[in-house]
Amino acid sequence: MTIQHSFGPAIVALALASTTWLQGHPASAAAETRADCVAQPSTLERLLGARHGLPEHAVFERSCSRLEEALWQVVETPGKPIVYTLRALSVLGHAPSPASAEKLAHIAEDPAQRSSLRHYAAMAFFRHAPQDRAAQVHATLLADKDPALKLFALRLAPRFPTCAKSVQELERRADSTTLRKACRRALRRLKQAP
Amino acid sequence: MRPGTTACLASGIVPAILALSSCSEASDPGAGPITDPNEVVSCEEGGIDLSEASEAATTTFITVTGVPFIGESGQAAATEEIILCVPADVLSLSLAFRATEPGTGQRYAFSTFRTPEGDNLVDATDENTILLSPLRQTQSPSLGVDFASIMYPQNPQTQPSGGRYVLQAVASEALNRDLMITIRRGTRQDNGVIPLNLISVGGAIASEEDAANIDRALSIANEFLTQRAISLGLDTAGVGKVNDTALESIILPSADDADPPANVPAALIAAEVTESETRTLGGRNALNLYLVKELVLQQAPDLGGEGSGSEVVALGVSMGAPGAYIDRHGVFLALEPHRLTLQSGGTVLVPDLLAGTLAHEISHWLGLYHTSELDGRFHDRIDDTAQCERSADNNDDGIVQPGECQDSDANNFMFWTVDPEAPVLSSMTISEDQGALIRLNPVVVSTVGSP
Repeated sequence: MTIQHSFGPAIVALALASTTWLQGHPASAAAETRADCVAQPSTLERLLGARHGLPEHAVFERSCSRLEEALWQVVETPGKPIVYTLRALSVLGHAPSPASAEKLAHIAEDPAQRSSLRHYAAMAFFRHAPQDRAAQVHATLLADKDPALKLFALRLAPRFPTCAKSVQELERRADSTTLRKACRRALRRLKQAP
Repeated sequence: MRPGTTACLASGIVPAILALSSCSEASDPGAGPITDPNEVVSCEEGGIDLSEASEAATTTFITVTGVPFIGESGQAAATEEIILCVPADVLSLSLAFRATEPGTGQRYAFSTFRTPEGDNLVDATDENTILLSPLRQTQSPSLGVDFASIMYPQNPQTQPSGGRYVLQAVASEALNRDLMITIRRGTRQDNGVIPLNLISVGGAIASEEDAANIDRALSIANEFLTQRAISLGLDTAGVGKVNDTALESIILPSADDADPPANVPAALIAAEVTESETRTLGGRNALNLYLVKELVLQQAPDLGGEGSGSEVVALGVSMGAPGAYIDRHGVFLALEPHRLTLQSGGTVLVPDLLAGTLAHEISHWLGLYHTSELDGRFHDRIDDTAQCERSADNNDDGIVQPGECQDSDANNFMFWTVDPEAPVLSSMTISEDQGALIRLNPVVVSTVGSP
């Protein structure tokens, strides 16, 4: 049907202000990255800010050698809107480095971190996670008390067939309609999984 | 008020949300009046006579249930032509189709909207012409809430005329849908109030400080809109709370996800709301503003498969442009991305950032589009807003960035993104015609006279 289209969610994307917190770190990896990638269409600033909804993985096809380091600096530097931290984590999901993957796993598993950071770190981690480590993190998230993490783990359930019992138990104890529905969906998808 | 609930005395709207769990009892938000389709009087065979079905000098909501979309099983389907007989004193019309059961992943769109003058404002030959047609429309399967909507006029310089309007819609499947018609009649008003419901979800509002900063953001957005004689109905806003913490984090599923997650907008709309005793929720003539913790936009089907999925942090989302006047329809605002991390390790909500998202999304719901879309190809239909054309894309990356649109609309609050040099609402502009169009929206009420 040719008339189908999606207007899509009307989303405000905050651009990362090059004049704000990023400038507050002279000689930072972020600043170096800016120079490194200056000729590239996807600079760090635009990637994290205004380029809402664009494929982040494209960045890693380019030769911005310090981008990964710069993204970690975004994640680890306080004093900025969390939206940039979350976007940096999301982009790091496309980073090929095993060290980054393990750092993402650590954040995802750390109950001392903010729930949103754990959520985005987890989403990023599972894109390239080795299966053994992924199963460990998945079990941790499924057992976490935070509903967003639990729901995320339920969405991933088909990738971890051994979690079926845990999901059944979660469904039995669920005190939320939404959580119960998510468990049932996970069980349904687990049955369909090859 | 119950004894011992002093928190209910908080003067702001959001402190009232914070106090809700100790201040009120669970209750059904209640459905607004729905006109019995049997009462709709035909102006000609098969037509809908809005002169009879609506009242003069007011806004009327009409639901026509079970409109058939006809087609072969599993194939695209279409309605027959639907005729609306519109009275001469019409100010604006808002039309929406929705599935009887939400969240079924169906897609539909208006394919014809013909005015009494004979102009067809929707050209359905392909996706681009629909977007480029004077009457743009929303179709939001990605929100997990199936509906398509249009508003007329989309330019306040257009004065709708009374007479025979013809509309038609197409869908991905042959099923019956409900047609929601909202008609506003009377004379144009030079001021307007947006009726609001504020609904907090789970523990998204984590402290009294959060509540105070949300109140501040509402005040900033209100102050911004006031320059065009529009105000948010803060004094009369309804207050409610969704207690299900599993809905704090909302997934906006990708359009092609046939099996979307459980925590989607449709689930939030359907969730039980605990209503404030002192600030009861308005019905369908109120814009519902949902305060959630986070909104995750999926760009691919869900993460069940290997390495699939790509998620984007969303700050806010309107369920339509315009929204449909369905109970509980509205705008979502994610609080978490609007927080600032502190050196001490804590966080604080930033009212200025929040206010920008709030005003932008509310205005989408009331019918405004981006003055320029990301690629510079599509624009709103308003005369006095500047447009950033594709030719402004100096670096040829396919995106018109704020820096490339400084001479046009980069600073308009409805530009597709925020100018990084001026990210706060107080540095943005709203045109006279944008204000006038918001004031024409059927749910916006006048502070003087009616509607």
